[in-house]
Amino acid sequence: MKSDISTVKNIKARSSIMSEKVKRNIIGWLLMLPGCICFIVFVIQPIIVGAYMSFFETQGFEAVKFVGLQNYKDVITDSLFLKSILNSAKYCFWSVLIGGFTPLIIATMLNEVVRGKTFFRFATYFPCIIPGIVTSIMWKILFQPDANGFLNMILGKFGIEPLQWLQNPSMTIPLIVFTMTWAAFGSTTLIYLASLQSIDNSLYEAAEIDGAGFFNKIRYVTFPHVSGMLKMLLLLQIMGVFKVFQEPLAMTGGGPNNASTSIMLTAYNYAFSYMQVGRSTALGMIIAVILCGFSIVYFKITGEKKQRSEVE
Amino acid sequence: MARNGLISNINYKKTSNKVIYWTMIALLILVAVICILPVVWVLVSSLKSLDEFYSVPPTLWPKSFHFEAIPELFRQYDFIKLYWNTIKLCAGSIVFSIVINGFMGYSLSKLHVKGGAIVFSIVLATYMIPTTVCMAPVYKNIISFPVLGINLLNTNWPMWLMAGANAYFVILYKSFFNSLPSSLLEAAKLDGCGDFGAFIHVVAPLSKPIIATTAIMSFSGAWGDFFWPYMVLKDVDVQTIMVKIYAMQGNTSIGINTLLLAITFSIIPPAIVFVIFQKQIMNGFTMSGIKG
Repeated sequence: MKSDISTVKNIKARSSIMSEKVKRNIIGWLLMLPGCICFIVFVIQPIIVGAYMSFFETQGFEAVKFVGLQNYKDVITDSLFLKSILNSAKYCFWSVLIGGFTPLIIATMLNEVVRGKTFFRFATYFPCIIPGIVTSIMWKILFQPDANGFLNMILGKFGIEPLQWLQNPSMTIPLIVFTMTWAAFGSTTLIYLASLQSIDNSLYEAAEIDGAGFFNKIRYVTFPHVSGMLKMLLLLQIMGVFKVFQEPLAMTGGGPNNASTSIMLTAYNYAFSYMQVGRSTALGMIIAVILCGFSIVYFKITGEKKQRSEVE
Repeated sequence: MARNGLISNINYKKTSNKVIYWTMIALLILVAVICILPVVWVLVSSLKSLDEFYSVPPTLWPKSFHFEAIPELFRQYDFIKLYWNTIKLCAGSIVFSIVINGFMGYSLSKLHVKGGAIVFSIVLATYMIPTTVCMAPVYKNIISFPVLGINLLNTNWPMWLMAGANAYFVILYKSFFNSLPSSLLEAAKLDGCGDFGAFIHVVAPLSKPIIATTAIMSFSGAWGDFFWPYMVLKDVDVQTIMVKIYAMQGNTSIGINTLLLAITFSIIPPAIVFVIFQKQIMNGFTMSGIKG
C-alpha cells in the first residue's frame, strides 16, 4: 500500500514538473483574463473603434459612410477647435505657473517646520479628500459674482468692489486652474515631501561647511535632489491640461462665450450635444496622439532616472 | 527640538535665518487658511437661512443655524438612497479594482506567463490615456456591451469594470509583487502548498498594506467619480451623490443653502475615511514617491 502511494506521488511529481510551465501559463492567463477583458472593452477597443469611426460619417453611434479625412478637416477648421487649442495653451501656462511649482515650494517649507508639522500636512492634504466635482461646484459658489459671494464679501471687508470672477473672460481660466490646483496640490506636495525627507542631512552640513547660506543650500542640495521629480511632475501637469474637462463643465460650461472651453469638453460637446460622433472621435484621436507623444517623453525621463539610480 | 534640513539648530541662531523661518511659517499658515477656510464656510453656511444669504449687508458667519434643514434635505432628496447607491458603486469598484488589477499584477510579476511582457507594455501605453479620450465609443460599448449586446445603462457595471482597467494599480501591484522574493514562494511550495495555497498563505497576508492603500484610493476615486456615473446613471433611482449634486446646482429653483448642505453631506463620508485611515493614505504617498 505504502509503495503504491509513493509511486503515485512520484508520477504526480514528475508530470507536475513537466507540465509546470503549461500549468503556470494557464493559471497566469486565467488570472489576467478579467483584467484583459476590462482593458479591451473600456480602453483598447474604444481607441481602435474611435480611430476607425474618425474616418466615417456617423449616424448616432454607427459609422455609415467612409469620408476619409473629412472629419479631421472639419474639426481643424472649426473655430471651436482653434478656440480650445488656444485655451489649452492658456491652461498650460497657468497650470505650470500656479500648479507646477506651488507643491514643491510648500513641501520645502513644510520640511523645515519644527512644531505643528502634522497640522500643516493635514491642512495641505485636506482639499484632496473633497471629491473633484464638489470642489468645482463649491468654488463656483465661492466665486459668486454678486456682493453676497464669499470672496466678494471678504474683499468687501477690505473695501474692494465686488469682482466678476468666473464671468470675466480673462480671469476664468486662471481661476479654474487655481481651483484644480487647490484640489490637487496636497498630494503632489506629499510626494515631494517624501523625497525631501530622504535627503541625507550630512549633505546640508557639508554645504554649510563650504559656506552655503539658506538659498545656496536650496540651489545646490535641495534642487538637484528633486529636479528629476519636478521634471516628471511638470510633464504630468502639462499632460493633465489635455484632460481638463470636468472643471469647466461644472464651473462655467465652457463659457463665458467659450472662453474656458477645453479640447476634451469640445470633444464631449461634439459627441453628446451636437451628435457629431465622427468629429468627436477625430478630435479624440488628435488628443490621444498628443498624449502619446508626451507619454513617450515621460517614460524616457523615468527610464533615465531609473538607470541613473541603478548606477548610483 | 532638532532642526534638520535647510535651517539647522546652529543656523537658527542667526537673525536672517529666523526671519526666513518665520516667513515660511506665516506663508504656511496662509496656505492652511486657503485650504480649510472655504470648506469651513461651506459647512457653516449650509445651515444659514436662504433669506440671510441674500441679506444686505452680507454675513460671513450665520446669525442663526437652521438644523431642521438636515432632516428636510434627507427627506426631500432621499439622501439615504443616494448614500446607498454611492456605497454600492464604491464597494464594487474597490473589489473589482483590487481583485482584477491585483491578479493581473501578480500574474505579470510572478508567473512569467508567455505574452505577459506584451500585455504589460499595452497596459503601460494606456496608462496616460484617460477613458474620456474615446468617450463616444466607450459609451457605445456601455449601451451595447460587445459580444453580449447587453445595455448597461443605469447599472453600476460600467464603473465597476472600468475600475478593473486601472493601469496605475496594475503597475503598482506588479512592482509590489516584484519586490517579494521568489524564494518565499518556493519555500511555501516546498512546504506542500500549491500555487494557489502559496498565494493564499504567503502572498495575500504580505500584500495587506498595498491592498489597504489601493482600497482607500479606489474608494475616494469612486466616491467622487462623476463623469461616467453622470453618463450612465440617468435613472433617479440609481443616481449617486455626485450626479445628484451636479443636477442640483443646475437647477436654479433649489436654494443655495440646500446645495451647500448637500455638499456638506457629500464631504462627510470621505472625511471620516480620511481620519480613520490617515496612516495608510500617507503611506501611499511615500510608496508612489519612491516609485516616481
